[in-house]
Amino acid sequence: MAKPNLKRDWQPDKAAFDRLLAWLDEGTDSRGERYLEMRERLVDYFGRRSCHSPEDLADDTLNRVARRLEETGSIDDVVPARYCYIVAKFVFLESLRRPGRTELVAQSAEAVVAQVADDRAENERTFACLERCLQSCSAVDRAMILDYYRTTSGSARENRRQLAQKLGITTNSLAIRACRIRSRLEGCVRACVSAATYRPKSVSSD
Amino acid sequence: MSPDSDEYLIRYILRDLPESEAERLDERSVTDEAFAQRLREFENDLVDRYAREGATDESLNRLEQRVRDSTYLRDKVQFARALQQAATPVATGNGAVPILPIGRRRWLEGFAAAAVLLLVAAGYLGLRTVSLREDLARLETERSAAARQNEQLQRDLAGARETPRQLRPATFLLRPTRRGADEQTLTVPSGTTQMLLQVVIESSEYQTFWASLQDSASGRTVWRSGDLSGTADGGNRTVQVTIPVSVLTSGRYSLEVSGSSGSRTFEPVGSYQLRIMLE
Repeated sequence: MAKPNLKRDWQPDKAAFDRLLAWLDEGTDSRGERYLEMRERLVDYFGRRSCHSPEDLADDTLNRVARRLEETGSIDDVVPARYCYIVAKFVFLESLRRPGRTELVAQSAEAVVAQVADDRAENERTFACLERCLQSCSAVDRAMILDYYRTTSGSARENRRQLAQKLGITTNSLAIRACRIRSRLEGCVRACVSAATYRPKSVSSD
Repeated sequence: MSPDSDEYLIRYILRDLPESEAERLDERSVTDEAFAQRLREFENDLVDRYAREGATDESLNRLEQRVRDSTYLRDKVQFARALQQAATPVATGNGAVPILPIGRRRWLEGFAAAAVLLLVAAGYLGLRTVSLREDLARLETERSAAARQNEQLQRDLAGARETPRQLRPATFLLRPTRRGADEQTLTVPSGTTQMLLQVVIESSEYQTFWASLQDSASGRTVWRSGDLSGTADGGNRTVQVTIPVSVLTSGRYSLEVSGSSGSRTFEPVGSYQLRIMLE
């Protein structure tokens, strides 16, 4: 039996996870916001680098940071975001050496054909998931994101200016809020679509 | 070209920069909050434009090529299309744009289509006129209801701006249960977005795990994981399972965990009966 890789397999318990949240907060209490924001940035980082499972790699990165915190008690010589990036870079380089990535590239042409054939079903699945995720948002967030992306005969810019005015905030603040809501919705939809289209990654046909 | 220009960001998103430059921006995308925010907005705008217009210019043409090779971008385009569809207003005849839940708006769209068909039929069959008027009256009632809902949402907005949302994920430890053992009750605080389960498996022979959550009442699988790794802990392994709260309602569930020791077959290694209470 293969010897388990203790470092890679380590998962934070509740105390370790709380320590990670506190470290990312840097003395404030963001109620988990900083963690979610950092996770989103890492998902984007791995995604832009065309990694196969950006969310798994982001979780792996944060687990390793939590483990380091568990071992040392604190990480004071570098700010949290920079440390997360350093770890993410290692995780990325390790992911390049895994066979799954090669398989993905080899299958990409086939995947494109399948994608075209599945396009309609995929759109419907994504829409159904979005519908579900929107229902899990607060009424305020739901109204804001739908208003923000609503396009009418007027320009989007003008619509957003009017929306910001209605809410009593600047267009810049509105853009930031909408972007955050969108990021969370995207994460929710990714998880939902992934559950709906689940195919075991490790069981490949011969 | 300025390193902060739009064209530079496009080239970064399309992985069209020299590796050293791309790495510099990779780092900023994680470490620099303002840059990460700007990049995300910029990327969203680019993807939205492509989802709306297709490859209508050079940038979008290059994006289209990248979308073919990037699951990440493909997912983003799918999401952008769905969001645009969800946010598309229903024409109400007087320019008003009601805020409606999607399901209801779909119904209304279907209703509007039916009304048009009735109108055509009425041209041939005057007998339909009365029915059409009733339909139009109902549409008007719907529009009024939508306007009231819009006002309610605005009131909710004012209220919720004073109440910050709880976003802390909820963490639970699941220990193995014996056959016929009691279910475990997990109370998920209001506003929680993710449920983190630390699942203890009484075996160390498996390296990879899958988990699925089934609604005990309907037998329907509401969520499945991808590959999960476990942590060795003496003779046991602990697997972290993260479930989005959005797929849950209060009720009884069964968490089924399978494990693989490296071969291609997965075996059931644990079953956990849960009673999930959403506060």
